[in-house]
Amino acid sequence: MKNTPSQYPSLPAFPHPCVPPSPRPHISWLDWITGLGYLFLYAPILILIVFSFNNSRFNVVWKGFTLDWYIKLFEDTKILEALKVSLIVALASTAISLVIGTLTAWAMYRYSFKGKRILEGVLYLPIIIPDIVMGISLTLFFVLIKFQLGMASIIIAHVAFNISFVMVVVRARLQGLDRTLEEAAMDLGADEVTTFFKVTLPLLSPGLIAAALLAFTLSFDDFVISFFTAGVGATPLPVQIYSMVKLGVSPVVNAISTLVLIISFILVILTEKLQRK
Amino acid sequence: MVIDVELRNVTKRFDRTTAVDNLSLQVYRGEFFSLLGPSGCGKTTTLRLIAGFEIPTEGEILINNQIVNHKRPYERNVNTVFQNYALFPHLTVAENIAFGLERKKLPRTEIRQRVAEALELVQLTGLDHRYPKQLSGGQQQRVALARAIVLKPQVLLLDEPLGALDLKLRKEMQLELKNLQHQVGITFIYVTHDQEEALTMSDRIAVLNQGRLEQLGAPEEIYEYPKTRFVADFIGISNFFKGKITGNTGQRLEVETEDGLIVKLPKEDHLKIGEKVHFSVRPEKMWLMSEMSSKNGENQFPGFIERKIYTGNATHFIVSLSYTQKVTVLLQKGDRESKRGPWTVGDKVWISWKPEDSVILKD
Amino acid sequence: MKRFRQQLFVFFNRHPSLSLLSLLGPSLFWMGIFFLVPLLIILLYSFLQKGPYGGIIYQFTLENYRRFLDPLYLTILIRSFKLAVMTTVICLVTGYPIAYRIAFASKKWKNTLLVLIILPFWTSFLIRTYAWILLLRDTGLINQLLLKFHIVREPLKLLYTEGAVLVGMVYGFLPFMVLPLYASIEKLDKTLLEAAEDLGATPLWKFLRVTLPLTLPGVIAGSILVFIPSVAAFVTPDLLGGAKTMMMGSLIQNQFGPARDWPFGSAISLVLMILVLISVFIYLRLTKENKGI
Repeated sequence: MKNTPSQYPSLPAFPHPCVPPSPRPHISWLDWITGLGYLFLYAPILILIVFSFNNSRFNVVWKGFTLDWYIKLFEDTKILEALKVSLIVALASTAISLVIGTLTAWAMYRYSFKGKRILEGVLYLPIIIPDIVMGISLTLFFVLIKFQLGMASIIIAHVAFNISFVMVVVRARLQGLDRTLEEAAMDLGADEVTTFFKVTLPLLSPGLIAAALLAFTLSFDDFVISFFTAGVGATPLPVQIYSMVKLGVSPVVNAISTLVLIISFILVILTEKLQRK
Repeated sequence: MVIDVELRNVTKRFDRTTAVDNLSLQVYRGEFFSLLGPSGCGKTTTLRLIAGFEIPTEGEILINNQIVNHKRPYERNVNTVFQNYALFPHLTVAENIAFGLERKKLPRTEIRQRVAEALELVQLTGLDHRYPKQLSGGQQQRVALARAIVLKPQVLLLDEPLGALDLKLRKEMQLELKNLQHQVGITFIYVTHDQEEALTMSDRIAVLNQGRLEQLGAPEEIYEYPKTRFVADFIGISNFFKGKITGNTGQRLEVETEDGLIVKLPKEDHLKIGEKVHFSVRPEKMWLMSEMSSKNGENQFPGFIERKIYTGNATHFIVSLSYTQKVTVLLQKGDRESKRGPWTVGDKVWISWKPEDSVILKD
Repeated sequence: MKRFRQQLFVFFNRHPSLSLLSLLGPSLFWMGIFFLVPLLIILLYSFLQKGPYGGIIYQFTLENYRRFLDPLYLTILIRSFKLAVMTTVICLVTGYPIAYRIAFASKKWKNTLLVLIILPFWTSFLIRTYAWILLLRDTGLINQLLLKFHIVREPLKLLYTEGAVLVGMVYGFLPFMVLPLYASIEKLDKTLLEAAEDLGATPLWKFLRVTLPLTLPGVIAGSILVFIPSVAAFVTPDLLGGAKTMMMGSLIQNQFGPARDWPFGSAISLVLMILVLISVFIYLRLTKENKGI
């Protein structure tokens, strides 16, 4: 055992993630690659966050700590308006897709019927299809039926992809559900309604919450589909950020990006915690 | 005797397979009734039909002399102990046990009282606030038992409740279950594939095979007088013989086996000369001798010891009587014949058994 | 009220087809109208002609597909394909060791390492791509460091190149590779590796003859999961690439933006989608065959 933690006296309880005690200590070059991989994944994000506190308009070198950009951010009505739009869209599309996706998952779990495989394929399509194709096709559809592009069109589009994600998450949870538990409840005198509320729902709820958090995150972060289905007067935050980025690097973009990243991180970690439950 | 549960010509089909095939049986009040058979024989389906999780394709199920075919599980006065226990993971031990009582809308104090009693009954007092995950397999098993018994059902259905436990714990729980049944006086219908378990615990056993009832009777009856080859084979070890009836000496039937052995069997009126018969002999009913004996007149055959298997308190000898006919002879420690030994592989021996120890089987 | 609810349940229990319809109805409706119909519309539009000022003229034509052979568009098509393949290969080569390392990490670290892979997976792709602008531009961090340590005399042109697009895509899609690889390495029976060692296999031989073949389903899954978003990428080439590195995604967007050529845009979208569906089909076929192992 070459790489046991005892070799790292300064870090006895928490060895570096890249060199944990391992049954195969001789392959430490793997540790290097893995470490570099994680560095590659996180360095840009960290730099972005650091620069959001940089007291320099041009972001070139570190000029000292400041919260100016965050203050500016909250004075920028366009950003605040975009944030509001994003939150409304995310909440609405989460609520709708949670209901529809859960019903679908339940149907797929409980029933076998003709064309189930085909339906399954169609339900997975929004996950694999390029988002640009989905965005374009929906825009054409809205234009064709003369549906005013705006908040409603974004919500409709987000629900269309979120249904699939909700269904996948809820279904995974359902599959792990022990059906004899429902039988046991009925055996002990609970009718169908009571069984559903006392047994099925409590067991399903971590999955439902995880699905809701996921749907919210996906909707809140979505850029491509929002970009195409958004109309005048309803600009979600990612689209707003995009147009700011197109104008050039600005510290305010760093600040709002940092905030969005932190919100997403919290949501994802919550989702992970719940799914492991 | 009062009949608690009755099945009348019950058949259950799933898509293309028939799980239960024209099954009729009666379970009496207060008895320990076992459904025994290999996996896939339909015993669990039978239990689920009685519990109400399945609806019979044909036939009738009666509980307390009422047809309950279409009654939902919660409308039946029977409770189940599930094979995997099916404890609610989101509820504590006490909440699990109280689950059924709460559905009955009993006052809180009574519920608390009865939960405590049930916990005491299964010797789990003090574990009320644990969650199922925090319990050992044996403890979970007891909670499942308590949860069902606390409702004082008319019939308790147990689906291989000891299957997940290790051997030692299983033996202990067998005794405990039996005691528990005496204490609460509830009818038990017990599903198992373990013949030893069924023999030691049951008042009566129904042996099932491919959804059909092979034999129904008390444990001794089933063991000593198996009616079919399946029962003789499934329960314990049996030596099987096939042959044709060649003579009838008034007291005895004479059968010539396929290998030409002339075997004496107890008289059976309905069998005639020339008819084919199957019969079996239990290994422990056979004797082993170094030479022919005048004392054991009938059914003496020479053979060679092919294998000798020592199992501690007994020894199994595989003796070949001919090219195709081999028999297993079991000698308990202290059997007088074994003193003549020790025989080893290759020894020439004589085997013998009493005619009345042969059991004639239905095909 | 409760009685009514229960009767409703029992009713649905007795009439499974009705309850199935009420469960599936909402999603059938939504997915049908807002997902399938729009896809059919681009299918239809791709065979129509464009109007003089944008819009559509309802006249059948194959012109939109013929235009792919135009060298201008063919270059873009080939570039998209080339960059997607390169992204996939780089992700595979770097993702495999990472996935392998996670699979063999101690329990305590495994979860943390996995969450760290999943985390960027669900966070704004736009923002993560933007972060690379900060690194790659002429006054960005990389050039700053290169200048400071006198490795170069004037800033390198890193941003708005194919290389930048490649880095951005590898960065964005690496988790898509690592996760399925991890899943299949994790499933690998570790005693097989010991058996290989026991039989005298060198580490390389062991990897080539045992580990790699057995984790092939993960390799295929990861490759396709990376290839699909790469070939359809829009944000990365748009932000990190220049006009000279246009890919299919940007080309589509162009048709609906400045070029106002909806039928051609629809045709490109459709080709893209068919490309994606073919790779999914290949994936399903390959994993089905490999189910035995």
